[in-house]
Amino acid sequence: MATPAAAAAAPAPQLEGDIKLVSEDAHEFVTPKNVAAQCKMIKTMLEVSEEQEFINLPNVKGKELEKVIEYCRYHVQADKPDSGVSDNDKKTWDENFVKVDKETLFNLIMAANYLDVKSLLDLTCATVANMLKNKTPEEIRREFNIKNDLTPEEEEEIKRESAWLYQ
Amino acid sequence: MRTTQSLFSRLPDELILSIFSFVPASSLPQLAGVCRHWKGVAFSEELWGRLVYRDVPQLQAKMWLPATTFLPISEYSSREASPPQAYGLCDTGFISTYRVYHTSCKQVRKEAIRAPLVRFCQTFLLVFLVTVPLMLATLLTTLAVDGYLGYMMATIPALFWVASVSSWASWKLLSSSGQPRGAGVRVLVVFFLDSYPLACWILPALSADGFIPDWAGRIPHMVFCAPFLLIPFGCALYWAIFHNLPWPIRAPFILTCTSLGVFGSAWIALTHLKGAGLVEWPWSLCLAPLWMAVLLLECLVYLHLAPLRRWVAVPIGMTTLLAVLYGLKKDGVLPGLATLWVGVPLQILLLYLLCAGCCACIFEPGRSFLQMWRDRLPTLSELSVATVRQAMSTENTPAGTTFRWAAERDPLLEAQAP
Repeated sequence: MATPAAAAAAPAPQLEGDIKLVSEDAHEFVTPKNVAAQCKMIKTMLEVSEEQEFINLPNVKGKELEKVIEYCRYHVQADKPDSGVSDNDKKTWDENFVKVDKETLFNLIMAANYLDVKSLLDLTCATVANMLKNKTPEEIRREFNIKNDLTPEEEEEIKRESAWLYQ
Repeated sequence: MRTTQSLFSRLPDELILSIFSFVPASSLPQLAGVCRHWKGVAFSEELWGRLVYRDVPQLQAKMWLPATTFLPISEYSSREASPPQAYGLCDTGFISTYRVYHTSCKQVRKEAIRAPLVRFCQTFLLVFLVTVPLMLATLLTTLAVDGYLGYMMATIPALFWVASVSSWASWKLLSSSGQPRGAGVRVLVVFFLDSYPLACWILPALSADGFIPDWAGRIPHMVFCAPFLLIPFGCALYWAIFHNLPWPIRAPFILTCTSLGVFGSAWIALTHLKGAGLVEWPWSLCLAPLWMAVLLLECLVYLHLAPLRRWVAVPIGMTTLLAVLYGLKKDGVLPGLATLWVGVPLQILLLYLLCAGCCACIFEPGRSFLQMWRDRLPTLSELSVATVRQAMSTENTPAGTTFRWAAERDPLLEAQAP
C-alpha cells in the first residue's frame, strides 16, 4: 500500500476526452474532462472511474452548470503558461462573469459549493459580501427581503457586543 | 417566482459564514443585527473555527509595500488563523502595521481592547527612544555649528542612538527566519546598518574637528548615500515598468521618484563640492536641492498616505525648515545662536506633533481607528486598471483630473453593487 507521501508524489492521471454532465433539469453538457476536473467533486469521480461517459449532477440546474463550465473553461485556458492572459484580464473577466441577477448568483454559490470549485465559491461569496458591506441592518433587510425577528432584548445585546466599534 | 428572502434562507450556515468572512470585521455587528439567524451565525465561535482561511500569501506580499509598513495602520481581518512571521518584525520594528488575527467576533473585541495598549507602548518607544535622542543630537549639533562644542562631542548621543538602533535592527533581521527576503539581502542590510554609524557619523565628526583630513570624512558619506539615492530611481523604474497602472496614476509617482533621486544626488554632490572648496556658491544654495527633495517627499507622502498624511507632512516640513536654517547659519546670514533659538522650539513643536499624531492615530476623537482604516484612500497596490477606469467614468468625477474613490475599492465586488 502506498504511503500518503508516495501517493502525493505520484503524478496526477492525464484526463483526456470528453465527459457528459447532466444537470438536475436534464440538460446535458459535453465538456473536456480536464475542464470538468476543475470541479474537485467531478475530478474525484473521474479518478475513481475514468471510463464513465456521463455524470449526473442532481443538485445543479442547467443554467448554473453552464456558467460553472464556462468559468472552468476560461480558467483552464487562461492558466496555461502560454495563454498570454494577465491577472488583470482574469480579474476583469471574473468581474463580468458575476454580473448576474441575485437568483443566479446564489445558485452559483450553491453550485460552486456542491461541485467544490473553491475559486468560484470565493468569487461569488465576495460578490454577495459586497452587497452587504457598509449597509445598515435595515438596508440589508430591505434589499434581501429579510424579516426582522430579533427581540428588543436581542438587539440590545448586539449593541452591547458591538459597542467597542463605536467608542 | 421565489422571493429574495429565500435566497439567503437556502444557504447553509457554512456558506453564509463564508460570505460573512469577506465582510470587514467592523461590519459584522451590522450583519448580526439583521435577523436572529444571522446573529447566531455571526457570533458562533464554533462556525468561525471551521472557516477556511485565505489570503495569507497576499497579505505577506502587501507587508512590504510602503503604505502598509510605514504608518500605524491597523486592520482587523476576519480570515487569518495565525500571523505570518513576516509581521513580527514590523510589529516591533516600527510603530507600524500590525494585523489582528482572530477566529470569532468576540476575539475581535478582545483584540480591539488590547490594540490601543500595544500601540501606546509603540508610541512611547517612538517618542522617547527615537525622538528624544534625535532632539538631543540636533541640539548638540546646533551648538557645534555655533562653535560651542566639538563635533565629535556633539556626535556621541547620535552615534549611540544609531548604533543601538542598527544593532537592534540587525539582531531582528538575523534572528527572523521567516522573512520573504533572502539571507543575502538581510546580510547586506545588516552590513549597511552596522557600518553606517562608523562611516557616516564618526569620520565626518573627526574630520570637522580636524583630527583627520577633510576628504577622509567626506568619502564614506558619499559612498553610503549612493545606494539610498538609487532607491528613488529604482522605485520610478518599478512603477514605470512593472506596475500595471494607468498613466494618470503612474506618471506623478515616476516624476516624484525621479526628481527625488535627482535632487538628492545634486544635494550630496553640491555639499561635498562646497566642503572641498571646489564650488563658491553659498551653503544655502548647495542645500537647496535637499529642500526640493524633502518637499517632493512630502508630495509623495500626500499622494500615498492618506488620511494620516498630515501627521507625517508637518514633521517633514519642519525638518526642511531646520535644514534651511542650517544653510543660512553656515552662510553667516543668521547670527550667533540663531539656529539654536529657532531650532529648539521647532524641535519641541516637532515632538508635540509626533505625540499628537501618534495619539490621534490611537484615539482620534469621534473616530475609531477602524474607521480611519476603512476611510483611507486605497494604496497603489490596491488599485487596478479597472478601478481607475471605473472611477474616471463615474459621473461626478471630472474626467482625467481627480478620482472619486468609491467606498468599495474592489472592482470585483463593486460590480455587484445595486
